[in-house]
Amino acid sequence: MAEPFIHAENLAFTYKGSGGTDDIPALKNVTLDIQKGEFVAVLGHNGSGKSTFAKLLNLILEPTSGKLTVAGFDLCNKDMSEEDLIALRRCVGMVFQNPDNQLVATIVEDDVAFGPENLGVPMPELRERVENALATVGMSEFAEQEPHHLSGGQKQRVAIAGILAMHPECLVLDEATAMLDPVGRKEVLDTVRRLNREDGMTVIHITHYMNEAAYADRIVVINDGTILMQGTPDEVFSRRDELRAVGLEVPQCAELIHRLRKIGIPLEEGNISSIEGCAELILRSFKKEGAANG
Amino acid sequence: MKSIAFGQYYPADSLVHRIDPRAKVILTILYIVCTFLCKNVLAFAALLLSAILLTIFSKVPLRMILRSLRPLIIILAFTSLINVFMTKGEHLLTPNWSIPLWGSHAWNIRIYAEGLWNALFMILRIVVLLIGTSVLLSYTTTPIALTDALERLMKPLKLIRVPVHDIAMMTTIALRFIPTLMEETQRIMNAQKARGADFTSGGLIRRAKSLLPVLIPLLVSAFNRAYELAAAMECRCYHGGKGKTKMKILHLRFGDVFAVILIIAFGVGIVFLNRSGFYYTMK
Repeated sequence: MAEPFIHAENLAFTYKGSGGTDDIPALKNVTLDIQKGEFVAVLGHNGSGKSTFAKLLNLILEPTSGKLTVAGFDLCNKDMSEEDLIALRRCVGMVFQNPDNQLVATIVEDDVAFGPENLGVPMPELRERVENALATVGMSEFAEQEPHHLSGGQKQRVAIAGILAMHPECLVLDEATAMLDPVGRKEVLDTVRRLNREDGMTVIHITHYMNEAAYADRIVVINDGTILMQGTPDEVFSRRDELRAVGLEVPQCAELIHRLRKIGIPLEEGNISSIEGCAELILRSFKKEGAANG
Repeated sequence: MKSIAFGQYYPADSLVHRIDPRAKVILTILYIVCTFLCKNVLAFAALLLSAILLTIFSKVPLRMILRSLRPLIIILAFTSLINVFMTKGEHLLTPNWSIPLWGSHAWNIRIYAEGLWNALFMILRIVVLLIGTSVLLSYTTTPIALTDALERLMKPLKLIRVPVHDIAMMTTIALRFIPTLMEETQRIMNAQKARGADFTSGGLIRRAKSLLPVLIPLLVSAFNRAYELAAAMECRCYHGGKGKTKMKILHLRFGDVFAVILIIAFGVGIVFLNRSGFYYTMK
């Protein structure tokens, strides 16, 4: 297999205490590889260290110890040049939780242009990038609107467009859906899934919503600064009791399968992360029972 | 809270709206100079005419402009009173009125024709000054276009190490966050009201004090926003103005240059009108 896009080895980060407060270790001993084109969901409840992990990926925070390489850049190199830092941040685009706090300009298209402008993209191309980015997130018709007239989901899509206009290789969503209503969440997720499927964009989705993690290729569960488990959504959701122990709820359909098994209904292993998959499992079990009973 | 309009921008598609914002800043400065050049009846008539034409071309409704003049009434009344009573001239209009004050002091009221003219001219000057600047800038230019124009016009100041780009960036961000923080204020006030806070009764001091529980959370949240915004800007490769390109490049068109030439010609015209000596010329 080719060199992974993100390679973390015994990665640790500690928030330095100031004054009398103690140092707070947020991340300890994280070893993780993420391949190009993968859609990885990082799950964990508040304070688990999942957001810290995201912020390390483009050096908003600097690793305390361990190894971290992203897109060929060694992020533990303390004297990284400014050009490399900018190249890294172009490559790893980050979308944050609160859309209001990421938009810089008073007009949507100006905001989308902010990233490429900083990169020094010259004019006809710049305009083209902005238009393409807005079209990708389905916000073209709002190009000349003011951001504060948009809904949360629309604002977050504008924020994603602002990142896409920099032509990143990887999109990190740092709880980007946490403040949105269900409609806004769906808008954002659909956009991100399409980017992953159609353009092969590497997506790292930090969230505490299990339902959203179900769409990922792989789920990494972080608890108390370490990786608790990882695997496909089906593998992770089948370990329901372990997840509950760290305060995470599996999606309703996976929960249903779990409880059915608990009361003695034999269900095969299978796709328990989607409603369709669960329905099929239950149906198959009925059919089998029907066949057994004649 | 959806319709927060900051500044006084009146969206319309007019000749004045279409002038390049840089040209508008220069036009405004030149127009202010013109209002101060006016000295006699003809010149002021021309000035008033120009203000009327400007308003018509800008498509800004007259009632909006009149509304913006309302706070000026006190200043206008005050300046005209001073001009009427304090100007000394040759054409005395009043008989020798005098109001005894104290002891042997008395106030001799002398109103001269020149005083009345001066008062009229001052009123015209102030009114036209306000109409001119608001029509040329605040009503027809978005705050963001204005910031952009100022950044470009102040570019030469970079040579003396004025951080022009940073000032413009800060202004843009301030403008961007005005509606956000206004919404937040409303939200905090509602939250405090829900817990029994009273913002409307009591004297000035009491009301100011009742705003304190609104201001503190607002300030804290503004700082949090600033941290997050800074991180988001870093993520988008912001590193100052160095090597930055611009999507919206302003192009000076013929019309913009023409407008500047026109206003210079207008200024020269006013100087000539002043020298015509027609009826009354202000000192």
